[in-house]
Amino acid sequence: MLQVLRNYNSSEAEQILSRMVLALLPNPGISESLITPEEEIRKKIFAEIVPPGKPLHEALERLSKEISELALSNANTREIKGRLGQKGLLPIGSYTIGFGPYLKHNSETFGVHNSDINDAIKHADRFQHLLQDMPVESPHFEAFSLFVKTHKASEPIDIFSLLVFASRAKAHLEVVDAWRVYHSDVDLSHAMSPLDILQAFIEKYGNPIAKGLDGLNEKFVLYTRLSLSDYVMTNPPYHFLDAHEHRSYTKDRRWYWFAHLEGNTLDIAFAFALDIVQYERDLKEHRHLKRPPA
Amino acid sequence: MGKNGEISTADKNDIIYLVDHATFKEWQPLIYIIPSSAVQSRLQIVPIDKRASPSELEFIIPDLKTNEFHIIEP
Repeated sequence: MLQVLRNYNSSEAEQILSRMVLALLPNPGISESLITPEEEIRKKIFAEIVPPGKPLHEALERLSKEISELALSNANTREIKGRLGQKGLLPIGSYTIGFGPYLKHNSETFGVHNSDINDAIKHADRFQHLLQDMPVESPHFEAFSLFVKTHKASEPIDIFSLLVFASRAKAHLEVVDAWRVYHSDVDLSHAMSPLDILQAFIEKYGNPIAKGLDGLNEKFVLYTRLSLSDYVMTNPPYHFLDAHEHRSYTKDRRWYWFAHLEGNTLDIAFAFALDIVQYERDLKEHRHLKRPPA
Repeated sequence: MGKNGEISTADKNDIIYLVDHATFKEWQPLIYIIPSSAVQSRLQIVPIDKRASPSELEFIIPDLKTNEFHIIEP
């Protein structure tokens, strides 16, 4: 803390410094009432932080630093980081990254290595944090993030975007899975966002996940709350809610779902299933899929 | 953000932490589009000595409501 302010408590000091910053910034007339000149203390602060002969606006950076230190001196920065991380507001470099159990298989079969995933997250062309601004709220909706990095190739047919799907909890990203999305295989002509790319990928390689004729073509569910009738409770509408069927599909399909059933209310954060056989078949058409071990 | 647009202490701390730790990539321009027909009669011209740039016109809309503008993000 500045020597001049040592007899003030942190809240008072913060207010004095904030008023000084306001006085130094362009003021179109909307904050007049907030500026209360405190000439003596201001002169002393300027004398402490601005070398003689230098313009007063050079004090702004130091004042900003002092305000930050005062404001955060009694705050729990770990809690702040967790709050911001959960909302998807932290700089990407501030998240820790973990890798889920599917990924070893991916590096061998799908040409996606942990180092590629790490690079796609840290140097993404685009990313999107899901759960923000969703119309339905639920404490059971897990937060997710998508990252996309496009890799160029000498042959247009081999251009692909690496799409990373990760769950987000506070300041940690746990990678659920990652896929090479070849532009020659998946129609991305209408994909504006990472979520659009995921949906186009699922449209190409996804399997229907709902039972019955009504949901025949339903391949993707995102942040949805369903009220289930008693009849439906005994005959769940989605394959992934049936543990027995779930197991029977794992040979050629990979299921991705996060749902919570409580009473008659089913909260689905996301659900989709991929036809692994078709995806692997398409991947083999591309060169450079396999690379020597690092 | 509180009901009356108030910023709580936690919100304030989050903002300060964000500003302190943001990298260059996190800074991006926002363009506010305010249809003039809705606010024309409420525009106040900022005196030249109080403008951020003396060479540009600057206005204050003291009672702008959140449903009177759009934000365009890159």
